[in-house]
Amino acid sequence: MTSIKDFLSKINTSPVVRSYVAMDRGYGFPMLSIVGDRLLVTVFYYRVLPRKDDKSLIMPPEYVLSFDYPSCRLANFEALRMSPRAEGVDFEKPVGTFRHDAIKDLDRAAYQAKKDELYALLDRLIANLGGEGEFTDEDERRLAALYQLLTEPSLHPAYRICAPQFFSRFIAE
Amino acid sequence: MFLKRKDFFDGPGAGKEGAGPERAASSKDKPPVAEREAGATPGPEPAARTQKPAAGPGPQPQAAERTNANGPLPRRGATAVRVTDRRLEAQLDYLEQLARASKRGDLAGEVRLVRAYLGRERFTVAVVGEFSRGKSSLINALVGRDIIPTGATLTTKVPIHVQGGRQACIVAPTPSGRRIYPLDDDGWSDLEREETPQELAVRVPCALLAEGELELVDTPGVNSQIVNDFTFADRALVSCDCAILAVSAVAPLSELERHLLEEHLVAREVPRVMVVITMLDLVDPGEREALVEYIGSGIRSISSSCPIYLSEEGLLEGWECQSGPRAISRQLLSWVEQSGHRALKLARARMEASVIAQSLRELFGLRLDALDDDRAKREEATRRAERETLSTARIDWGELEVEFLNRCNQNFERIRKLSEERQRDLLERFSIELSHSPNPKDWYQLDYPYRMKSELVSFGNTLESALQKSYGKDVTWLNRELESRYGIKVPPEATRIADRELFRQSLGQSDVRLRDMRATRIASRMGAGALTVGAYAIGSALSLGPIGIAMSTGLGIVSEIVLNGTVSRQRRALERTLSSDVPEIYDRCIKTVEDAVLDLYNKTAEELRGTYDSWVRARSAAVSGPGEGADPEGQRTKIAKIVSNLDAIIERHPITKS
Repeated sequence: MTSIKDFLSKINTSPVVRSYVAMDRGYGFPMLSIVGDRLLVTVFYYRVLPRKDDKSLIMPPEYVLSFDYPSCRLANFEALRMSPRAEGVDFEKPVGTFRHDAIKDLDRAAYQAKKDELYALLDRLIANLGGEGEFTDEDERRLAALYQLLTEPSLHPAYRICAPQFFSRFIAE
Repeated sequence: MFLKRKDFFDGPGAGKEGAGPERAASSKDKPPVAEREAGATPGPEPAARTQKPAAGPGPQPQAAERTNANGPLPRRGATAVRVTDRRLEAQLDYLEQLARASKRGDLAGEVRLVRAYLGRERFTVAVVGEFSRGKSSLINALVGRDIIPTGATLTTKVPIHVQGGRQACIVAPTPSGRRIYPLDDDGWSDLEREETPQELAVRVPCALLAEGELELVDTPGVNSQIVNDFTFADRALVSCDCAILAVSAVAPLSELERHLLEEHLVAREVPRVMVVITMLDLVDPGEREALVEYIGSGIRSISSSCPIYLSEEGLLEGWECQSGPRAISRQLLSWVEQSGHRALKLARARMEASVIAQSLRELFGLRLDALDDDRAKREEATRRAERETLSTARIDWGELEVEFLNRCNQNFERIRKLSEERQRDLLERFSIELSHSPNPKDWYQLDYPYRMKSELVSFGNTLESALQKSYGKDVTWLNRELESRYGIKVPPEATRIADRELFRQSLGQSDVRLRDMRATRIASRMGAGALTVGAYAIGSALSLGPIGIAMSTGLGIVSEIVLNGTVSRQRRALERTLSSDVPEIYDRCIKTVEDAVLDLYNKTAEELRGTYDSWVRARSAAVSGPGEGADPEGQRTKIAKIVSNLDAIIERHPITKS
């Protein structure tokens, strides 16, 4: 089974991302959704303007991409700057700053460790959705806690828009 | 197939309390009408009462939103039908009038939003397909006249929105507004001669479009300009309620058409999809049935529920009900009706009206209490009114404050950008000056501090002017919002942002050890002179005069080479120092300026909070009861009538949300 980390690195170096997503954009945490009999992994790309002292500016997400798991086939691409649905969004206006309060106490290594743990749990969830392995209630609670901890609150509307059901289950407090 | 648990997000385990689709229907998440109309807004979330999720992109269906009349308004991509209801409109007029009379600009604004929601949007049908598949001809047939020229002209290069209208015309957006062309060959020719717009609208009197409130979108064919470019199709599909895939019988169901159907229509959950087989008349009558069956089986293998129609009537026996524009129109209209969009939209708008009526009811109820009761009760009512006013308005004010401080953040970006530009120019200028300086030490000790100081003073002035302008603009925006909603303003702060002294203070130059090249040059020339004299003397003594001349010339050249090399090294060393010092100096200044900017905005925000408190007090006084000399009995009757009217509205559309 392709781990979510490998999957993300594969899509991040895929021709579609390289061709259509501006170079300095980074992606948020992946979200899962089920469409028909397919599992889709949705990510959005956005820009962070680095500043000192936890004042890095988070800009609104600009691209939303969904990929079929595990084939990595593109299922949906949306450039929000051109989308009528993001008509009122000022893409030059920051929506928040990094880091948010919940992770202010984490150093780089601790943040990475939490991220790795989240990815490991996502791998278990994906395996479970594919009919392999277990994903217990405890795992689910832990995964939700990690999502709630690590995702930037200022990006929550974007997470909700990209995958409402996943958002309700794992990110919404 | 990888997936084994398709119901993961659907089942009761959709987990924790409050999660799942039904959560979206809670009052906390109810989006304001305008936000829902505009679609996805992945910006910062507004707070509390207006804190609601934007309906938006994403591959997932939102069944609850589509079926629950009390849930959030339907997603734009799924539902968008203009709805009229005279009684509701009269109620909205009444509510707006009351809101205005009681100086509740926020509630009047909400009424306007509900009205805009009802008045906007159509049921959009996107016609997509490969190029030359008869999309434009199909639209012409549905409308009943040739409105769009067929063939590879401009019209096929941009999406065309065909809408109902009283007069037939073409509307092309321009940077300054829009331009109208007549809907005839001349109009299309004129349009083609001018700059190509991004999209066009065609208005035409047509029963189907007017009655069904339909909008047909003719999209440029996939592959018509760029191979495998689905941009136009995708853009139209994003906001459509229904899609028609035009498949030509001459080139039946290509790989690209399969892909279009599978990936761009079915996978993206376009609410309703229909396939129309065009150009069947070009196929031999004996082969038509087999051909249609072939296309049908191909489509059914992708989507079993997708109906298939023929674009023309009388071409195939047994297909009478599914042939021709009339059959297609019938199907489209039945989708509009069956979808329940109208009912859903109306119910939603009624509920919104009921919520507004409830707010007004509480306000007028308190006034009534104040009139009825004795002084103590009146005071209690005043306090309650104050609390009520406070709770409804606090969120609105909070939002304004957040937005104002967000605008402040944008200044940081502006400052950094300006500073980076100035640094780049300055370093370039220093580099050129250094390249002309024969003695880098002198330049660094004398010229550099002066240049840097004047640059910083100039930078400070530029920053001051830019930031004051920006602050002024933001305060003007804030005051405009405040004035339109509450009829008040906050005064702007008159403080200098970029402190002059900061930009005039000493630089604290780095200690760079440089040799004074002027002294070195004199010393080297004296040495070279002495050696030349010596060489002459030795050469004369040995009768070898030319050796003296050669040595003097050689020594002069060597000393110049050595000196030039030293100067170049010094310049490089200085450039390195400057490239680290200059950004540091700028950073120091910028940080202080950023703090000053933040401080300035915070002060205004504080002022805003103070103004809010005063406003709340003023509002409370306004709702506390009639003033001296008023006619209490007449006023009581009037208010009681208003309250009973509002009760009737609320009773007719009870609020079912929490």
